[in-house]
Amino acid sequence: MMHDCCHSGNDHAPWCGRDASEGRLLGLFFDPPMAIARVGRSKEPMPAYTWVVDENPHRGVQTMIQPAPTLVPVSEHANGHHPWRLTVEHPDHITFKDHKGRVKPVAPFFELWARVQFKTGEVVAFPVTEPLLKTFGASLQTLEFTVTAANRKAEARTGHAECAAIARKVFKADHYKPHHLDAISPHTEDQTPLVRPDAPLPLGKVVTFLPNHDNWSCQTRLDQIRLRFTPGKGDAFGPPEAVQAVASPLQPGDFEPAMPEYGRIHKMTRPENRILSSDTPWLGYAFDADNKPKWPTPMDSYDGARVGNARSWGLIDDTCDLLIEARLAARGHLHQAKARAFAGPPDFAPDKRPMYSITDELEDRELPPAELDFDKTPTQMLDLFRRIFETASLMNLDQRRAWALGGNASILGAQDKDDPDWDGDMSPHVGPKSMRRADAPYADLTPDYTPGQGDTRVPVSGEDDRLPYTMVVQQVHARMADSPVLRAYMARKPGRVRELVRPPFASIKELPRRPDMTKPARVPVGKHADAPIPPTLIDGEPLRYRDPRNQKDQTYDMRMPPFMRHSMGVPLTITRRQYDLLMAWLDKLETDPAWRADPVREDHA
Amino acid sequence: MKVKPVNQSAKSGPASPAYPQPVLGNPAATLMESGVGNCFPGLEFDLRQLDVRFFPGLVFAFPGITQNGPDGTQGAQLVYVNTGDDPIFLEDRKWIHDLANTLNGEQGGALGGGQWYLHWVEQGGNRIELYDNIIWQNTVTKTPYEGEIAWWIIRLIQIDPDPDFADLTIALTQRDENGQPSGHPVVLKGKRRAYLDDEGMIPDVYRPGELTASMCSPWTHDFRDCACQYWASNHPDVALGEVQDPQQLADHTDDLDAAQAVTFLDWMRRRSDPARDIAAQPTIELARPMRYDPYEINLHWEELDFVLQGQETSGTFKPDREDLNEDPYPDLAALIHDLSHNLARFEFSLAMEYLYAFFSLRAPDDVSPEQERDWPGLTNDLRAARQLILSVAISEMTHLRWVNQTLWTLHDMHPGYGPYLPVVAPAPGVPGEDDEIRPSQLRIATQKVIGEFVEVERPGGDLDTEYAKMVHYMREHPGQFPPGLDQLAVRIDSDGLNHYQKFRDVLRILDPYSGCPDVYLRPLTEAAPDDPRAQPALALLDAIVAHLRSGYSAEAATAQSNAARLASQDEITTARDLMHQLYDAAEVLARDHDLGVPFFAHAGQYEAASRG
Repeated sequence: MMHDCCHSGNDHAPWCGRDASEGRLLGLFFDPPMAIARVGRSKEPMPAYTWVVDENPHRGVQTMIQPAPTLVPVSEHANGHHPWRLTVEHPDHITFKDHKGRVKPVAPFFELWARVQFKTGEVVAFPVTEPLLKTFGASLQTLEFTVTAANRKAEARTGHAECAAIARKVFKADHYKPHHLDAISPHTEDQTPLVRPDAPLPLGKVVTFLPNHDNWSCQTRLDQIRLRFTPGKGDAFGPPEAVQAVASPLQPGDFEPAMPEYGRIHKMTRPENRILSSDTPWLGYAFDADNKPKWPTPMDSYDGARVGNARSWGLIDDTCDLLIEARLAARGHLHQAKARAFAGPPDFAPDKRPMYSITDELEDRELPPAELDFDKTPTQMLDLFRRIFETASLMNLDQRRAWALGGNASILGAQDKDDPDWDGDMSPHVGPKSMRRADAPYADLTPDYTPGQGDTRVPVSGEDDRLPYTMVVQQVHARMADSPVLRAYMARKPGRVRELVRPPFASIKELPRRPDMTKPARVPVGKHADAPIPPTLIDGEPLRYRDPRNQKDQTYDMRMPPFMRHSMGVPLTITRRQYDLLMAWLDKLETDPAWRADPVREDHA
Repeated sequence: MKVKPVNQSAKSGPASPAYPQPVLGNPAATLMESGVGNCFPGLEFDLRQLDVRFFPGLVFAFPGITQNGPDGTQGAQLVYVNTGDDPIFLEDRKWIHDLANTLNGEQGGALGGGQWYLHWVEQGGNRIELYDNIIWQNTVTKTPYEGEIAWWIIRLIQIDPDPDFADLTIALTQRDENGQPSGHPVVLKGKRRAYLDDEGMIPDVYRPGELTASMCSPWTHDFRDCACQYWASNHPDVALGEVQDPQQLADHTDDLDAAQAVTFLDWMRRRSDPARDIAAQPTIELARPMRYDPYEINLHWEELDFVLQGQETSGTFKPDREDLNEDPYPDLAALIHDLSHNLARFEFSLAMEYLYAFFSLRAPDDVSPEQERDWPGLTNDLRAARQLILSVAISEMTHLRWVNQTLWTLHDMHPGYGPYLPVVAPAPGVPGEDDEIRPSQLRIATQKVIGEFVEVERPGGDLDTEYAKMVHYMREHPGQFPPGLDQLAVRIDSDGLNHYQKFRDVLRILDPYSGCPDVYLRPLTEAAPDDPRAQPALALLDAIVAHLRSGYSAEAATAQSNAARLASQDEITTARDLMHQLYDAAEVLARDHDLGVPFFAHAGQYEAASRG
């Protein structure tokens, strides 16, 4: 079936107006290849939204979310049941919870695409539709999906496969009913499954949709084959024993000794969710039972770990990660596509982006160093600093600072963590003088803004003080989200920025063989400079990458990002890729006037 | 990364980085950019799990240590060897064939018996052992690094882009009962696994459930109990309350104000707690009793609020009311004139007025124990009020710089308006109540004066609309401005709301003492310009103004020469050092002599310099 595209803009999709039958099918793929679903108990999924820049001058240059075209399933027989056909709605307002206060789940769509090669050699991606399948001698019946979802949290800790929960659904593309991902535990005859087949664990559902040919547009293909994964509700499930318990009144990370308990008593599961088997290694599991270290870490990351004898209450949840596979037989070839989804917690601050995202981490692992580029680098750096502000704006820096400095005292054996002098003349300071005037050259603005604060680990404050350090971080970083301010600051104080940003760890090739004998590689300050620049010296030493084996590199100080925690509990840095690009940019800003000039508007270039 | 959106595009420019776009129908929260990448263990999935399979054919675990200390089993433990379920062994590469042969041969067979540990990794000719060497009685003993350090060493292995180049060598050994490596090592040559396939997906050697296996169970355990608190982007530490803030003053504000609550609240607080609207605490220990408990959160997590623009809310905001109906400037000349003749001077004047008010407040250290006993909370309230006023004063000084930056940018882009002249001088008057210009004046921080400061900064007031007007003009005439310049005006405008909130807060904080001003105010009078006690402060102020002028001039030329950049750096740094000295001098003058710095005493001199 051919359609006339009703899209009125000039930005037609590359395939629009092209005839796929003139090419050959090279393969299939999903877009997106990976997506995050987010739990919620509401039956209404979260509407679509995108990130945009807030245009309101009263609120500053910041990211906001804006409602986006939302796909709404409409019951074909108007009875509320399958099959469903998707329509597009344009909400002007988004609420995150339904009228009963239940959080709306984020349920991602996965579009199926085909790569078609034309005789010119050109490869164009086409949306996979029923007519496209027919073009290549296939049909909805020859397109099969397999969705495998699993929650292996209990298995990972006990080492027993019968404590995993796995769901697997196989269905054809025209099988439009909801496919519930009801997981059970793999087990053999003499094993007790944690999740029994008669009481499966609901990990969510996947659905495909009838094609909708209305308002056919190359920007809105509702006849394209899509899967939608709706995650579980975010519930906790347990055995019948997991009813209620005394909760540790201590702060996170602290343990209560095996003594009488005085915390509040709480229900931990809903009655209808007490469906797991009791007779498995998971109920009663204790991370410290044999005094052997265990993986995964942190080892106390389950309900029950923080009190008494640290026995597990046997709880798991309905989150999971899953693989979606499409298999299509066409003209003697088997084509496959795969995608992943992860069911995670809600994004409770959806207009704030992580300064260290999953994408950043994957890019850091997979991509070569970022290339310095006159046009792109300033934009990349601006994006980084905007995200830094977005994360920092919701952070309680006062708490983080007090927590981190207390931890330093513990690591380094200080008798009194509140003694302002316990860290002597260490630089940067790791005790109560951190971020205070004595912490020069690192501390600069913060003491200016907080004249009433002394050299204390816990801020001196009353009920009206708010959070003195938190206020400063918001004020200082908000302005760094602006392009002219960021560029001018970096150009004016490149040496200070080099001092202030905590270097990431060196790579394997750059680490010393013996951490106590030699030092990691130097940060290549000046490598991209067009003129000699003064060295950045830290305690008389050139700036170096850090070493994870070095104890000092595991202590917290005010270098940016201050007092935050990285993977495996060490001080956070930006990624190596981001850091090296920042250092290269500073070289240019310091030595090449052209990099300091205002950017030229594209239409005036 | 290899993820390429196929049906969406977003434009990027020097002033506006592009946001990643989700596919049709998906919220931005589905994007990998919305998930946190630092994991211990993480929120959406645990990226550390990638390293469990970093070396093809092998699966590792990274146990740490227990509270009893190292027992010799910590580090990078080999869990199992399997080439059969690893799709990478289907690839036709020499190093993969060689590795498969090794793992399926004698050495691989050896790995099947007993417990093996990663001993060292070698890349680029550099071999890093996963043991710490300790010399004890002239003998070197090896202590295995705990899992956390072992993992980091693995994480620091880089991947060479050539898939045929096997650049990684590893060795595994067993350990004796003391944790010392023992026996012959098994040495394997290969390559670190690629963690993304050609389609941008984590390869399917990671089975469903593996990447979330190490997450907390249930997920709410980590959401509440994790000591990390490092996910403020998805899991706020603090947020402002909704507009109906219990501390909002009855000062004829109404819902049409762009007002918002001013109190940081602990986001994880129990919503049924009587203290739910009390300011967030500065330590985790203090906050803990008011937060959801373990177990409790399993059934109550949906009570947690969503947060937009730092404020708890039920949904996105309604479309903004249009308040940019002021007449924009007739032309660029009028805008430049407004910047140099009004706005820069307003900022200077206000900074001085606020500083004077700041020094008129008693310092917390001045409060005697008796006074604190009679007026409980006075010390803390003074500290809070002073910090708020000082932060606004510093902010106004920053605005002065930004107005000058806007000016030098415009003069550079439009030479026809003549050379840039720094404007570092006060205005004779500033916007006051009912948008009337009132004389610039130095006054102590009585409630009446603070109330006037609120009016100056009120959203919708004269000063606020000046910048909104400028933003409007800049956006209407983009060709006259470099990209991003409007962000300076936007920032000043949005700071105005912040100033307004802070001054309202100062009013509220000091209100209990307003019947006895002596309790919180110094009996400050403005020093005569020729009073010798004020001369050090005035000299410092003169020097600050001079260095700011030189610094701005140098910075205006920074795109022309490195010498100008260096000069601007030196001048601004000097000015800031002098500001610290002025702070100390003014504090001494106020505390010891009850005198305020006559900040406007040399206004004529500054004005003359600003006119060239």
